[in-house]
Amino acid sequence: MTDATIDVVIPVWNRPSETRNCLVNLINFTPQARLIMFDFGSDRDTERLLQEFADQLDDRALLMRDDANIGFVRAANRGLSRSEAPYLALVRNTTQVSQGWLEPLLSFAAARPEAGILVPCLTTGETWCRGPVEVESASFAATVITRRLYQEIGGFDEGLDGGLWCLRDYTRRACAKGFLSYQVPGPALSYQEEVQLGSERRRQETLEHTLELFRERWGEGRSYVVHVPKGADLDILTEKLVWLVKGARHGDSYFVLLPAALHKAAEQAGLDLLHENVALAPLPRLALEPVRRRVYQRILEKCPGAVAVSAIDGIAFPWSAEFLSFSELCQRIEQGYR
Amino acid sequence: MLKIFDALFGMFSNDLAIDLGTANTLVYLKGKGIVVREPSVVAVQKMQNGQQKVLAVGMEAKKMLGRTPGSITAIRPMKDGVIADFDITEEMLRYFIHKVHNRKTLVRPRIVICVPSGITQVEKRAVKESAESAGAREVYLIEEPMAAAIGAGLPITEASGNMIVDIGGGTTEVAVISLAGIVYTKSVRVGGDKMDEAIVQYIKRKYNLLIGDRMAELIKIEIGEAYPGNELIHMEVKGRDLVSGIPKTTEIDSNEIREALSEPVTAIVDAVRNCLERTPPELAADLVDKGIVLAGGGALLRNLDVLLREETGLPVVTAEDPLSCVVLGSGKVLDELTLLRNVAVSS
Repeated sequence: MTDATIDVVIPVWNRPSETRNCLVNLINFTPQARLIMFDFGSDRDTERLLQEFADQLDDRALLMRDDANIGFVRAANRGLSRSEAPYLALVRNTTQVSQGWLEPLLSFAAARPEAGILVPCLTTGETWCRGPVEVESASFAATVITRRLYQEIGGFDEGLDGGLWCLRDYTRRACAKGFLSYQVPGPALSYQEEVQLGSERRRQETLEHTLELFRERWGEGRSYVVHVPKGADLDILTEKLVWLVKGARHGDSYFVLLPAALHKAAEQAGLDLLHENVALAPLPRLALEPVRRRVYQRILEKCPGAVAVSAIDGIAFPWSAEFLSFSELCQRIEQGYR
Repeated sequence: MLKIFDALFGMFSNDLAIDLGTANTLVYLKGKGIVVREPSVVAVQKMQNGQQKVLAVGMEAKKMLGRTPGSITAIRPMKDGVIADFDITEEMLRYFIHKVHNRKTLVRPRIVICVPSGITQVEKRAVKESAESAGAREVYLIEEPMAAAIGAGLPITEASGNMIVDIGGGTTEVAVISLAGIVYTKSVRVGGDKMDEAIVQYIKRKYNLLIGDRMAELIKIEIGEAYPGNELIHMEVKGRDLVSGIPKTTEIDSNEIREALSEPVTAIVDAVRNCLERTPPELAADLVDKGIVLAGGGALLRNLDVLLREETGLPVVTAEDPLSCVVLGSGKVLDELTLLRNVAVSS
């Protein structure tokens, strides 16, 4: 048993210079952490580098090794399984953490016991991060998991694509056990987008297989365009958004069209940062009807098949004859939770 | 100023690709194909002031191997896939460049040189400098497995994984290539030379018969095999009896040579296995369909493909012209500068 607050798992396959940068930054900016380095079949250079770090860090590091390239997700799981601290982090060896990256995440987790997955502000160049906001998936670049969550659901599903859908599945499994996933603003971490290896056909096959499994487990998420008519106030909107966030946690995405004034008030109240899949879109204040309709049509172009919903029962959706009432939408959301 | 002249004369130069191998050096001239295929051997004479004078290079020098008087030595400047003697390598490069660019002393060609993937930055820089001082205008280095893969016609720019095993004279390079980059490579200092050495040692041990490197190479080519074939092949071997000290002839068969070659062949199989184990699973899945391509002179060892198929369970094919794959691949990139810049290694 170590006295580290957090165990940082770093799966490593080659890239010695990036790995060195990653480890140096982690050591400098995460003094309370124990590093679990999992080497899955790296070359001699990287192997030596990891050994050097492990020797110097002594009990602040654990070096694990598998001669075969077992893949990132398996390596991550093997590393996570050896963690003992109250918090677990997964950091890719191409990510560079910055000063104070962890504190906002741990403070948020301490203040919000329902938060199980915490994603820091990640950037490939521009630094821009608001929140905290609930997210649909974690990130393999860097993610913090609470021990309580890990004890409940364990590691990532190795049978999935090892990418986006694997992460979404993890968030959904967490949600099913009552844990939520948040992106927490703070110092930005730089990371590299991973190059997708393997033939197009093989990747397509993997994706199809993953989607099939995912749908079997969690059903299929849908997109909705919710129209909030003039006259609705912030309280009504808040009430509606509670439902939408509930739906978003189950894979649905929502575009909420609302009057410009209400949109501004919602922004000020932080209602635009509830969930990344609940987007508030203002309708132009003094525009003619065709202009307002165009806002709706643009959403449809971006998201074909999105279902129209009227936020207030009894009031028709202005740009589509076919629409759902909010009560019907609530029923659908509830069905998803059964 | 010099750069302007270089650019000007560059317009009259024919670019070259050189496969600087341990056993053979091949030169590809843009627009003409392979124009030189000679052994990487240089005959040098030691002068009284201690300096070395190059007497012959290539085929002519190889003929002198083991038959030279005391002051002349026939040496192979490349050993185990790396440059063992930089000065002599430079002389050899100069000779080949001049041989191709007959008497055009002002013309400085662009040269692509293949290097083993395992060589260090210092070695890379040394090769580059050797070529520059031998008269090159621009030097690009590309790794041998990459050149071999291009020469074998593999779709290296695609995202799918391609595995190439290039068995040269000094090294065997196993690489998995995807998106015009080497994703994983394993280089072992085992190749045709080690096989020859193994044959020499085996015959010495079993028959007390000392044979030369050239005889060993001949045995390897004639009856060498990696996996038992349908028929047993015999061959007469001439050498010197180590007990009596007189020349002797004895008969050996392919089974014995397979036994003699087992160590270097096992090292190659292990390198392939190791590379497969360490290849990212996404690419390993592609290799199940596409298999392994063999290139280099060692690929001509009888039944090596069968053995690798047996050991890995993957389809194994030998490139169309395994001996020339590397230089043909380097030649191909001379025509495609964008690809050349993508695949060239920094030094």
